[in-house]
Amino acid sequence: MKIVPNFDNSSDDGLLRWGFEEWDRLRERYDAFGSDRVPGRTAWVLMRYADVHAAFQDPCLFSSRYQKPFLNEESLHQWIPVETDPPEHTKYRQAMNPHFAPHRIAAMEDDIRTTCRESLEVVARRGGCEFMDDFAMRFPTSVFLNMIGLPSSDTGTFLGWEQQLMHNDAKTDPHGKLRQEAMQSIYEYLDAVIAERRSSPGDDILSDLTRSEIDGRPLNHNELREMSFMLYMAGLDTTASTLGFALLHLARNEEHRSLVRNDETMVPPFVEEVLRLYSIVSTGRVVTRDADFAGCRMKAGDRVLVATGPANRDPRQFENADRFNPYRDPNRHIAFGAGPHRCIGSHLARAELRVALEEWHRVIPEYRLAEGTDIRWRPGGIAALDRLPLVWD
Amino acid sequence: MRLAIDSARCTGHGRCYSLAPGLFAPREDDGNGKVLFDDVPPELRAEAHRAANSCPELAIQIREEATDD
Repeated sequence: MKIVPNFDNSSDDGLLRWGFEEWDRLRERYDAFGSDRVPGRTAWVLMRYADVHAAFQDPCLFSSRYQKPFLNEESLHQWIPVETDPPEHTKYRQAMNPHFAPHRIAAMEDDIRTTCRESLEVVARRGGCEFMDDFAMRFPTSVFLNMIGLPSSDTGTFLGWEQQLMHNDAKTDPHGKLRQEAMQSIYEYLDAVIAERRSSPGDDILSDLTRSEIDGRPLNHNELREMSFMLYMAGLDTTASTLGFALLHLARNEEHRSLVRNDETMVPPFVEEVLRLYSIVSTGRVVTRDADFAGCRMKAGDRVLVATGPANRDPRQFENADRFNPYRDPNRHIAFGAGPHRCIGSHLARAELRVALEEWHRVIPEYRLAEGTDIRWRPGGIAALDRLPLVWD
Repeated sequence: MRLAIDSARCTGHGRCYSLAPGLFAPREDDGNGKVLFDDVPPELRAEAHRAANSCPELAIQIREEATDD
């Protein structure tokens, strides 16, 4: 049995230093392996496309109840719908899906574009920015607030909580106190908004959800708060991180920069290739029964890390898998997962990424990495660049 | 050529209607794909294959039928 002692994707030194290339090495060396990080059970790490795809499509063998395979603690919360399983999951998705369907997102596009221009206006004047903080986080946060009908003046508050929640680790926050506090603040904020939307609904997604039903009854308060928290968590860092990898790639590649700048029809396939080559999400599952899977002897109660990063760079699935090819066709990547838990926000994410690339290049057509920049990867469930300093003339 | 979407597999990635809008469209209620023509006009056959090969769930079925021509 292949065991990598104490492996944890959020603190692994190789991933921290080498990012996606380290995932490639791990995948080619092991196919799949186990970690003994948490005593008493094994956390299996799936990296090949076929294995990751099969795991996503099998919610009976792989439950979504706990998302963090390397944490030895159980959350008091159950985020909806990500931490539920069929048949409950199916009902929640049926209630939520219409609000994230393509025609709903298309109707929001003008607002998304306006929000993007506002976020850009601030940085464009400067001649340089720290892309992650100054634009990549700010833009999706403002879109999210807009979607749930809140003023974008609250963006700073939300970003502060996000920072406190996502960017603390065992060193900076050994007992998880800061993270707990941030989570508490977010829940309290959302509680107030949900109560308000119930009494005076608007035309935002949260109001729509207060009117949604499952099993012939309206969603209750707890369901609504777990859903809105999930939307907050899933919608901000993911889009921000992907934008970071897109701009890093473009800053280093003049040919692709001019392609994206000069031909907006190339933006959607460019976005797909960014999603494939820089797939940031590694999610978790719980093994429900003893099974041999991906060459691993799994036991009921074991955990699984399902890593889309190495899966979407698997040479068994993609030709020249580690090369960026904006003309790649077909591009059957699973950056948004697959199976019943396929990312509900994928149409929104694609719209945000496309609009951001279009608008950025209209305002800032030429740019480069600031000299002496040390690019560092922040590994974890949502991998991201730590910083991305860009400059332009 | 006949086209179908296996509704048990489709989860609404939307690759089909993005890549082949002449053949597929999103369903209003959930964004899953629906087929606009089940009998594909010859000029759209390449597009049909492209969509089928791009579906992350492998939910698109293509059946080639023997023809006289």
